[in-house]
Amino acid sequence: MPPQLKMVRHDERRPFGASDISALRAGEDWAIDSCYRTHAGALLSLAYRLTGSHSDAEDVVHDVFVSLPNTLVNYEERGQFDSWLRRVTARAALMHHRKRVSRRETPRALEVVSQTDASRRAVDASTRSAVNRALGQLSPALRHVFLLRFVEQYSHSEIATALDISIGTSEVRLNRALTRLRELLGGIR
Amino acid sequence: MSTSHLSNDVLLELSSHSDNIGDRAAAMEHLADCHDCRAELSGLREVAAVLHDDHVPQPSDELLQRIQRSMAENRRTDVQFISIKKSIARWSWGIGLAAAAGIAALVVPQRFQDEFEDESVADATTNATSAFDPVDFASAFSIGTSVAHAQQTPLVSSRAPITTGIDGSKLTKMRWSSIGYMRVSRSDQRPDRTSQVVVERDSVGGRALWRAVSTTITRHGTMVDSLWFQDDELRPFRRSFSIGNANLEYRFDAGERGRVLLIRRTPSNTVKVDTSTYYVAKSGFVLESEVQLSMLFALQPPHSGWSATFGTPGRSATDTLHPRQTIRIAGSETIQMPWGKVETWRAQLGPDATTWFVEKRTGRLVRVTSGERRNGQRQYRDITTFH
Repeated sequence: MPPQLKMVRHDERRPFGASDISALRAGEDWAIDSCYRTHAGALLSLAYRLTGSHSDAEDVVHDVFVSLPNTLVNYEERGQFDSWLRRVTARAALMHHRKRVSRRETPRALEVVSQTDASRRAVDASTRSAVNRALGQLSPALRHVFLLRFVEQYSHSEIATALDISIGTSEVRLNRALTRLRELLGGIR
Repeated sequence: MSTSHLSNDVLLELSSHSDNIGDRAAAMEHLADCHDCRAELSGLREVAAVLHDDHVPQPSDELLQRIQRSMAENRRTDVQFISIKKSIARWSWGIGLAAAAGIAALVVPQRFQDEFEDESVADATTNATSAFDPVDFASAFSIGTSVAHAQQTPLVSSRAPITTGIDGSKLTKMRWSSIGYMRVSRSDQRPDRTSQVVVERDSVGGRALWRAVSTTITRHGTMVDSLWFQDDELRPFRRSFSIGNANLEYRFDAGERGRVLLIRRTPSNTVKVDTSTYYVAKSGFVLESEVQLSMLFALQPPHSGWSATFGTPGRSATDTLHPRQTIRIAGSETIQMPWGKVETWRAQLGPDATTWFVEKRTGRLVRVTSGERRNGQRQYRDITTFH
């Protein structure tokens, strides 16, 4: 018998709860809508970093949300939902990139977006621009490892699994990424 | 002060204020004395500040609408399939025998009566078991090309029961496997029979691609029936595992005669039906031969010395990927099972002349997995059938 779902609206101020996740599993519209409004921005940002393209990032987030009822089958409600969702998105973005490479399409360089708004005053605009430009000049292979390790806090073992490379390769790529960033940013400092 | 600088990993952890640092005190002590590492850490913290404080785009309503449209499309696919199922249930299958070499029996659909829908499986008691073992997927080859080559009245006609579905609430086991490839198995194991529902899904590029939806009932260790999902049973499954836009293939075993029904949905929503099965056994046998074989046996009852060669329609005799298989009946043999005797033909199959048995009653190929001979009769614990 299908689970009897209570219509519980998700309050964006609180984390997704078990009932929200049940509704997501069942593909309830309101749950998808709520999850999208809560998480899609951060997921788009992550996917964009990994794919290097806003349109690809949208494709990735689209696929992640459409397949949520499926992928949630594997979600064990012990960890943080948003962390899990970020991992699913990272995996989908990397898969997207792999397909692009297998189709022999040119990997995209990161589109550098120079936006300034009030919410981003915390970091100096010139630093932001320099970092984004430097990141955009990293090869996808180096950028993926760097972002997964640095931003997503993956271990080398997890990176190795996600990228289908060895742990040693992950470590080497991280070192190369940092070396390259140092060059591009004038010794990072 | 340590002479070696902090590793990149330690610097990264420090820059993101992580607690996941083995010896934080030693790292801090080194930092206090090492200008290079302090500079490095400072630079990394600036990068971290950019990345963590970076612009989070406002998700657009257009993307949300696109997601909702895709999900609605998936739900429509579910509904359409159920209506397809109902129309398919009114079909039956006649069979034909390929001409000259007596090789391939192909199948053509005919109108079918629903009179067997309510047939039930009789209860009995046995301690035998059977195995359901989906194997590697092989691509379809003859969709839409079924032709009847013989004028004979099919002996395998509409007698194969298409019965009611499994009661989902009585299923006792459920198993999930890993994310990339998922196999969901629900089974209801009782002394007299086993019901099993198997759903397999591949995740390709974040989209679910279904490989098979199958349900089987075994009784006395032999598959005796396969069931259609009822709408109310199918929907919970399908709600849980929505279907992507890729080609869909559904496979149903359709009864004791060994008929296999495969329904393929193409992107244009055309429904094509074939009776071939597209699984290849681990032993290397092309199991569509099994299906066709049972039909052939129905038309040409085997006897000692009977032999036939089966090929894949559309494939040449030299095609090594789809090798022809030869079966030779070595003789009649009675197999003693815990619940009684099974009359079989002992068959030698394939280039290695592997021993299989053909159950005389159903014409199905079965492989007996263990047992010993007593008083001139084989006694076995299990019979394995592959589907």
